[in-house]
Amino acid sequence: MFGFENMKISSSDATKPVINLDQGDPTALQEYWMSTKMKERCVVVIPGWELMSYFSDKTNVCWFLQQDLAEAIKALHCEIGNAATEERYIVVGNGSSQLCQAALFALSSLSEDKPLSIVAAVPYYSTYEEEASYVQSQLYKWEGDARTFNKPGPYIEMVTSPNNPDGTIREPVVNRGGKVIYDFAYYWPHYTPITHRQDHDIMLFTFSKIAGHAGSRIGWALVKDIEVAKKMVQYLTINSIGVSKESQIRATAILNELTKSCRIKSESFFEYGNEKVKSRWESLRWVVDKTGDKFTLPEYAQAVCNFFGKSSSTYPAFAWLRCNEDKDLEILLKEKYVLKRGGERCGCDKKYIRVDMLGPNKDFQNFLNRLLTINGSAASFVKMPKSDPNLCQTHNCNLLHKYFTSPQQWLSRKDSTSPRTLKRLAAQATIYSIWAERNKRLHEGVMATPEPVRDVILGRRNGKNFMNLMFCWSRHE
Amino acid sequence: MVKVENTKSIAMSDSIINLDHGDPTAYEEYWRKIGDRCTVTIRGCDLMSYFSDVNNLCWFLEPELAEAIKELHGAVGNAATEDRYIVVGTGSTQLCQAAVHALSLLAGGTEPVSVVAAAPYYSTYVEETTYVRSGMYKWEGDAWRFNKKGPFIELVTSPNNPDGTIRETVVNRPDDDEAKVIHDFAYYWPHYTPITRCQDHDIMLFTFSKITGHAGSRIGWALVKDKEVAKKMVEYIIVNSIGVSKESQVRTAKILKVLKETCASETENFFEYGREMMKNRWEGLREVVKESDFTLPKYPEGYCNFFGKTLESYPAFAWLGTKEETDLVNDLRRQKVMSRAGERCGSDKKHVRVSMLSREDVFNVFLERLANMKLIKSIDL
Repeated sequence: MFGFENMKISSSDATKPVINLDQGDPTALQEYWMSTKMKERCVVVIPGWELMSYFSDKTNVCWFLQQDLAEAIKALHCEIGNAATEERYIVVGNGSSQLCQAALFALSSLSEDKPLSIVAAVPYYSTYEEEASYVQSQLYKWEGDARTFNKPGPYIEMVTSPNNPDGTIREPVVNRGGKVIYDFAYYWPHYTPITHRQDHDIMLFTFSKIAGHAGSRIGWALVKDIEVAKKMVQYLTINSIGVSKESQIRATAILNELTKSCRIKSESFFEYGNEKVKSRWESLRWVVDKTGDKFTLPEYAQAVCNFFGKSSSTYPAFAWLRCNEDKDLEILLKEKYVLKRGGERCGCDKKYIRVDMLGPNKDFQNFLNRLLTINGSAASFVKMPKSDPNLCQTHNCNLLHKYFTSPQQWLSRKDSTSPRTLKRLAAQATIYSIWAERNKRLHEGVMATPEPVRDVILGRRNGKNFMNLMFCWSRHE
Repeated sequence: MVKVENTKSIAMSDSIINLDHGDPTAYEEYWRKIGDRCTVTIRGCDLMSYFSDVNNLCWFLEPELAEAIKELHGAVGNAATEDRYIVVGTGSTQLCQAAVHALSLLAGGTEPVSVVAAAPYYSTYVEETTYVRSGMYKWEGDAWRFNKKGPFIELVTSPNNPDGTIRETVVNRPDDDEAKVIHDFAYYWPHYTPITRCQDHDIMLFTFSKITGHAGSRIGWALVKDKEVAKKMVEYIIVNSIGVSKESQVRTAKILKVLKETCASETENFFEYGREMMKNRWEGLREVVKESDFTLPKYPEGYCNFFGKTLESYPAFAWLGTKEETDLVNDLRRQKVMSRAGERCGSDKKHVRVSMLSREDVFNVFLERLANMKLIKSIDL
């Protein structure tokens, strides 16, 4: 399910705060909308007597689609150049999730043979499998990986590009004359170069992932065939008698703002969004690099973006992280109180996980930090001296080694050389130093060496309150 | 047939009026008078997250909406909310499907769960339970004639849509654990019907559309006793649409709050206003239908706990019938009045469902055309 089981432990615990980067809640983009300028610009005011009717435009195939929203959608696609809207029907839905199901319903209803096979190339958006199976419809059947699909008969292939979860640019894989539903949730310039104007029969977009307004539950489909559009509208009519008018009004205001400001560099949301995801990807790649060969991330080719007018890379909304050792990465991270979507849910194997790149700043930084601590990789921050790790020596690197292997044991064990107070002080100083060092590396790119840490401790040896402890300490120097 | 163009009974407008759907535009005037009290302002940075309250089983339910719902039910006294889970949906339509899905899933077994409703029933139930051709449940039609063994779900709407009657379950197998009931209380509000008791069932559905007329918001809620049922309903809505519009929820909360406040007012009580409007309309309709071949149901009076007196029912739909052997929906269509055919509601061609919630001018045109039909028939004789 949609991470429902993870909801129970997503609240912070003072001692073990859980970071939930499973769901893809795009809160990172909220900063842009919180700026003083933007707060004033996109205010929507709805009086109590408006938007009461079921109907928006009875002359339209999609009679619950607000006309202003239809115009805003066309204007944005035109400005960004990512999809053709002429000679198409716009169908609005409560998120592209509902639209995807409407499309499955439409295509299978119009097919003479049923059930239709539903496939997607691995790794795929895990929710497709749920969407195609939860109602146990006799109209269609989830058949899994498109690459290994060889069942005869009609089929629908789901193509997400850039792909969720691995961010790759995708084309259909089956290519046997079946139907294709294109999910372009991430085909926007902040995530990926806009290389051409998409022009397919059914194209899905979601408001959630453009500018982060996931709570509005708005998506739209650009549909060529009127019969398909009518069937999708029929699905949405029976499923929920249309779509929230309030959300449509709001989406209209935001999309219009995106269009208006997209060519003004200092105001453009797409410039901001691109910088944001790019900087997060750079931090993640830096951390992954620091863990040696433990983890891998996909590489993405550069391409010229028609919107930005320059060559750029892809910075997907999710990172498809692979563990190079034979381990279940989802469980490994769960031990670090990090919740992720495991590769198996995406049709892949346990070595992969999907990491949300658009979560809150704090969660993302905490995640990077915990990634570094997996399997003692924090020991790479300082060099390890060659001495007996069981002795309490003065060198902080030995302390580090002891600390990360058996901290509780070391702190609680009584020995004649190191009083417990000294150990505690040493542990506290070590933790503090590591944290300060980590922050300097991440935010300032500055790396310290072990010597200053030692010098700080030794510099206090003549201090009155610490004299006895320091005497004990320096005896072993 | 005698030409009737010169009589006063001819409709002033020649356009088609659609009273097939129940678009509740009748209430717009009231909310205009209320003015800015219900105005909602939403900034660009508001309501962005998928999540409303991660500690709630229904994590996409805005807390202020949950509060407003409980307070309104508390003020009106029409349903118990304690010890229950509130599940919000994109209209009670989505919630009904979520409930059928949840109950079918929990029933287990290999055979589809039967779904029934006593005729005449809400025609949309048929579509809702058949369109995706789910293998989990199967529409079995009229509850009055249902005698299949095995798990089943009975949909009980009270007051009923289309005929406005007060309903109880019809398939009574009290010792049968496999019998589940979904109560749809879309119209169980004081402007339509006396509030005779505080409803206290396992699954109760309500819709914002029919209380205040805000159909465009697409908000409904379910009051669910069983945690497992509530969970499964939430899971359905997650996969179906990853929750419910936050903008709609926030607006609904505001309007329900103002609505509750008006309950204490002597001049602005929404339910008084609504009741007065419905009463006028029903009296107008009964006047036209009097001494004709048309029929309308009669409703018993009941003591309304909300208003503190004995009152009549004024349902949101009129279940218009005819004594003649005729296809009433087509007869009305010839008069450019669209209505919902009785056959769609599990009844016969002699009945149609007509919305009583259209705008005032549209309703008046309907009465004129009905009067015209009555006149034509009387002249024909």
